[in-house]
Amino acid sequence: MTLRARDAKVIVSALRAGVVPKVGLQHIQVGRKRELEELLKDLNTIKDGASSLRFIIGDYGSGKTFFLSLSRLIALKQNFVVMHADLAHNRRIYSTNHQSLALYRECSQNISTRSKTSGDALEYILERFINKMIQKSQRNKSDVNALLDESLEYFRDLSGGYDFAKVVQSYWLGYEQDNEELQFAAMRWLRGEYTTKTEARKDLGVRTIITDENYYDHIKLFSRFVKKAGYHGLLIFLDEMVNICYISHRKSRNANYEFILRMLNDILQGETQHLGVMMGGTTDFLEDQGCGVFSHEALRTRLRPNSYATEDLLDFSGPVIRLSQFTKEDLFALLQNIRNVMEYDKLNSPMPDQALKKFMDYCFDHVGEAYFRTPRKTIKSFVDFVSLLQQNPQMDWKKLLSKITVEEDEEDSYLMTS
Amino acid sequence: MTADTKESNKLAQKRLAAPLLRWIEDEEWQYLRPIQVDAVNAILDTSEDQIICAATAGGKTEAAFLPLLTQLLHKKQAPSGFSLVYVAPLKALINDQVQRVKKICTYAGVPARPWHGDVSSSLKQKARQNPSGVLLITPESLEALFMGAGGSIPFLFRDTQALIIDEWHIFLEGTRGVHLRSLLCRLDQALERRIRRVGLSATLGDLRLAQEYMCPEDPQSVQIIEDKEKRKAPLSAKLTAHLRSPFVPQKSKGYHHVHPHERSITSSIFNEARGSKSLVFVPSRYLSERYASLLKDMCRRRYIDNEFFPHHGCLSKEHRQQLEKELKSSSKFRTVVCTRTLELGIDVGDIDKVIQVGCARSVSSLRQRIGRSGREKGAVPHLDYHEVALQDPSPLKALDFIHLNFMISVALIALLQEGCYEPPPSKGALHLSTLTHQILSVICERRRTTASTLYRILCCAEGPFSQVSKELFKRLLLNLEERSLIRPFSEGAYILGHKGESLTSHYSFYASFKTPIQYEVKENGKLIGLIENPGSLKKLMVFSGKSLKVKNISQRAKTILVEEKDQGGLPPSFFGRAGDVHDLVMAKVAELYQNPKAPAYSMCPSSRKILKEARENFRRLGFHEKNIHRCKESGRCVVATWKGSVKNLSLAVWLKHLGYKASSTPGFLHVIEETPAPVEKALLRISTSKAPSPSILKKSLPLFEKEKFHSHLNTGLLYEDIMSSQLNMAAVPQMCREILSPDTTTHPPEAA
Repeated sequence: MTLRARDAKVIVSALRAGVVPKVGLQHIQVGRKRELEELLKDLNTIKDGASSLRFIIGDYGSGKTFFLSLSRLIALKQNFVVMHADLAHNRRIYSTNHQSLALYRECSQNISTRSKTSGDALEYILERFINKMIQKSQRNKSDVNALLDESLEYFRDLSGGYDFAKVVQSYWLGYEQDNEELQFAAMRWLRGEYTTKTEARKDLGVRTIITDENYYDHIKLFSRFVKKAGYHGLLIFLDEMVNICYISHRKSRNANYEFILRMLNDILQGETQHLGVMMGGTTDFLEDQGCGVFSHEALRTRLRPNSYATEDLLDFSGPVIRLSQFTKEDLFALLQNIRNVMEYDKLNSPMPDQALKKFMDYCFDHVGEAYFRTPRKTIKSFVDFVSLLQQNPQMDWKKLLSKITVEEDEEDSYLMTS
Repeated sequence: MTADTKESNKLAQKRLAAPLLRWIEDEEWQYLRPIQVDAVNAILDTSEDQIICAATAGGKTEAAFLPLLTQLLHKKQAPSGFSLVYVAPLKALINDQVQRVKKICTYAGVPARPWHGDVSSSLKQKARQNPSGVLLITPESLEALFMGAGGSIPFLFRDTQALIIDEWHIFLEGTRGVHLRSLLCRLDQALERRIRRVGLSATLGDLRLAQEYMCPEDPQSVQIIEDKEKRKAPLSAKLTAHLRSPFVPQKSKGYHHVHPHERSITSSIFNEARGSKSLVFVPSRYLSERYASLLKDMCRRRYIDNEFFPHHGCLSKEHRQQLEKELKSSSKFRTVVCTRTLELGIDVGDIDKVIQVGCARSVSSLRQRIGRSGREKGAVPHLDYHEVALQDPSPLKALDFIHLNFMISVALIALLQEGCYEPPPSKGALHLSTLTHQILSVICERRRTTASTLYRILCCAEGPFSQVSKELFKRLLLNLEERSLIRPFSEGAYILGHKGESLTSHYSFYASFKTPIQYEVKENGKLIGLIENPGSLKKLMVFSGKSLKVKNISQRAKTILVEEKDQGGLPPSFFGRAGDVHDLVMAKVAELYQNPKAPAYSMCPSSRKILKEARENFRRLGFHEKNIHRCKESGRCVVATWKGSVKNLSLAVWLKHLGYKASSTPGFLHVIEETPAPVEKALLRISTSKAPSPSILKKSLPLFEKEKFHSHLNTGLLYEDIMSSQLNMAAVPQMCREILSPDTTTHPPEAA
């Protein structure tokens, strides 16, 4: 795996800002071997037509988002269509107030494929579907329209599928007649951007639009559609699930869990095809009895950990993947990787491993045990440390070390100190 | 109008934007009122806060809106979000103002949007999607906006140029004032800039505090705009005494028994108010119903249409609005017997007469009431004051003997004429109940918040909770955590606990004040009012100005079904507490006892007689020489403190703490003790000691009226809060020194 100079810069600046880099993750990833194996298994089952739902659970700063981003990249590489969105107070799994439609819109903005990794790939997917039809028709010497109709027939029987098929057909018509407006309208419909039925009916002749109530049906339809378009399936990554806990209205919060239960049931019972959902959240999101997933009785019984599993004997087959704690060794390997990325151009004389060890000792002295468990801040100060050294080559790393400050990870220390 | 003022009037008009001048023209205003001229100049010249003081319907609203809209119209860029925000304490007031403001706004070409609990959600939705123009809102709705759509606050109020707060004097006291100030402070923080405030207020007593509440950072910068002539404007008053017989009639005599003093007051009101539009202010809802029904009976006996109706907070909205409308615009004669509900700024038009029955307890509210009349040019506002005094009081009951209640009324009118008003309550109260409300609200708004953010937002120097120390705040949070109102969640942030969730999910949460459990009174399925304690109801009652037969009381549905009858019955009893009497009033009372001069307003012969008798009896008990009177027969000592309710109560609490049995009424204390010696000893001891802490005192504290969230506080916090708001322990030692050396007692405090 060779590292490109451009990627290295992106990685360093992202790490410095404390966020997960969008590219080149493989250059810094350490550990998580079992988890990644599990992901690959999932991708295979989705490819075969089944579905999967996973909760990626880890404490704050333990690398959930990192893991999700890595998974996303792997899925893209393996020819999946990937959507991702963060939940927020105005983007919910379930709502009656356009908040779940907002989530759907966010997802359909952040839709990527292997060839278009940075989102907005809906048009590519549609084109690919049409090209496939055209190729097929050329191969079979049959009419494209008839072929299209035939393959869309499959959708018409599904919930909400009739209008979905009609919209896809409209896109094809727009394509054929060079009517960009019609194509645009079809894409607009698929992104859930129509707000009134009248408007959608005028533009596309359909009676429904994507709303809070039926967006999930459309995701199910879309997962089958991408398969028809030649991809292996659809993966949806939802991060910051803890936002559900912050819904202070108990009924609406429970409705969200109810919806997750519905998705879980659908997926476990094989109602859906070629669909993978991964939800990232903190331990509190999963386990809090008051407002977490476990406050919902039915979900708790389904997601209960395997009672035979222990810390050494991990069970990854359930829907919940708990990201194991970062160990000191993991952190060391991670720092090594980061150093390698940062000093990629002078690998002949890298910073000695001894410096990394000293850095870790230093962190332990100043922050205590927690420094390697939630590595975000540690990594940030490490990047600062190395870059200072790079800019001042004459300086001795030992001297500089005492000047670096490592903040304790964001936590409200007010109650404890005052 | 002199040439000079004419000139300044013209100049001020010229400064207004053209569309507004057209409005003035179409309204056929000849000139701007002096207060409007001052307001136009002040608002356009500076960017400071203003308080505009004038009587209701004195043109305050226009005084604020005309220059502010001018500024808005002169802006080059079209502002996004609401440009002006008008906050008023009552929904009814907003409904009233929307009509007026809308008219001006149409000329200015900006929309006026009312927003309160009764405005339909589709209108609100519209306003939220396209926020512009003038927003008229109640504090409770502003709260709902924060909690429901906290994220959109910066968008909705991005270019808000000023906050207009109507009835600013209402917000100087009570939980609603604290609530509003907290909300304004949160608004400033959300926008990261301070919005200019323009307060509209009735004549205020102490303006310094009003300034400090508006801008705690720099109170001096708040400009006061008031009509200086009006402030010292003459007013006439007449005090009439009605003698109450010391014999209480037996209950068995039935519902129709009317006391002689009730009869004489009723006929006085009847004679004075019949054939006019008048307001009769009474101290309680009970009396409002009582006198309205007596007056109605009197009308019926004389075969004339009833002109007398009750008006108080427990009656249905329809009934009240109907009355207000009739007072304002119909040609019918109406006299409304009301509690302080009509003291506030609801516009009821020109009132012919204002009559006060019973002790008003505060000069400020008396001033408000009298301001309801005499609006036409040149008319002198007039007040008819009726007070009850006991006939042939016995010296056994010392306070009745010296006609204390009557003398308080005498003092109130005297102070009113001198133009002295009570200052607003001083700072120092912790308001932990309202702080709890705000903590829950902020957590709801931000969905999760750390303790330090909460402290920073709520207890900042500009806000109303700046008195709360970090240490106390921490205790409060721990307490709320114990009571499951909030709970810590990940990353040190708090979210709502299960009790907090159910509290905040109901709309009744938005109000910071307590709404008691009330029974709906229904006649033919129509709601006519609310009653708090149906347990006291008899078969027949007087309510909403009607005689009603109680058919059925449903405990579960909380309804009382009634049927109208011809006559008879007594009003139901209402809960409630008489208002506090201020030190200023008691000092005046002391002066009136000592000074043989007659007050400068007219008094009826019987009231002159009572005054004379009161002064004589005062000397007879020896209060002119010493402040402690021993009442041999009843085995107690009466201590004259000459202080208002708060300080008096504080001393009583302290005495209780020392093991004495003491009870307090304004200006006086009763201590159960045979001789004055031990009382003197106790006072001497107090005068040299330091105020005891709340935790030590808590056993001696009497039962207090609780605020909405007091039930969620542990006793330590509760007593600390109550002591900070309802007692003034620090002033007690000095008070004891004054009681012990009578020479220094009768210095009236500096009046504002």
